[in-house]
Amino acid sequence: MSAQPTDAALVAAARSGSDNAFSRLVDRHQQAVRSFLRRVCGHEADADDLAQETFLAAWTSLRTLDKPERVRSWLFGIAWRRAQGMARSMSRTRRRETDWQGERPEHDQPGTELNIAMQQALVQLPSDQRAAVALCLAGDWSHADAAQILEMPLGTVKSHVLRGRARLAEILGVRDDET
Amino acid sequence: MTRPDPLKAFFEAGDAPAIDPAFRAATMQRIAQRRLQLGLARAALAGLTVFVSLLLLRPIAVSLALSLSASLGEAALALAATGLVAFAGYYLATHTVKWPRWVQRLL
Repeated sequence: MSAQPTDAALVAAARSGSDNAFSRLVDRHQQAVRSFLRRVCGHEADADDLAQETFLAAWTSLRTLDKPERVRSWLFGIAWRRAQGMARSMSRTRRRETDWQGERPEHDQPGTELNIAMQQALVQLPSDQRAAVALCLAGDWSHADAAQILEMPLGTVKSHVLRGRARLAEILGVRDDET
Repeated sequence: MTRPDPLKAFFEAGDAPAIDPAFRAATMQRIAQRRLQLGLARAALAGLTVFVSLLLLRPIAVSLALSLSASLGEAALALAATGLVAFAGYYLATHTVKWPRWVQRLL
């Protein structure tokens, strides 16, 4: 049984020009990045397109990554900045490369009731609050890590998570003792 | 014992798939396209360098050719020198010059 290479090892190999190493990084982090962007954007096709742009930007600027072992939080930072940029330019021409989505596995097709309910609830939150909730409640990031990714003060993130959680529980009709 | 988070099931329902070869393939295709664009940009830069070098050397080459008009061999020598300088410019642009990071990003 061979040990899985670390993120740092894959980043080093990708920096040397290995496409295989970079595609393994994509495999390893795509679920987390796409799930985060789906919650932040509220639209799966836009989110997946942004996720591809995130990995493309990461590939282009891989040499600027200071701490290769923290590649995931670096990717999330890129993804968040891209999502903010997209939100600011919603009026731009929407051009998506969606052909590949016909090849998606069936279980990834949008539509479970829980997912729809959550998406409808999330879009009612302000974008900063949504991002903090997506990271800390759905993604299991610490408040400190989320603050770094979102470039917000720690107290602001904690406040966003607390208020976002209470609001989601209220919208979804879930009894939540933590709020 | 901690109780399960009531919001967790809602979040998990919206997760992207853990393995998605189509997403990986589409991403790597975009990267291949970007690499091609970068290669074309570098080739264009090298071509521009050669063109500018030839343009700058043209008066010298012409005057050399005129002053040595009688000697075809010397004109050929001047042309060869021009070519050599152009090649050197091309080599500098593509192999030895370490462009600043912001220029590399543009390329």
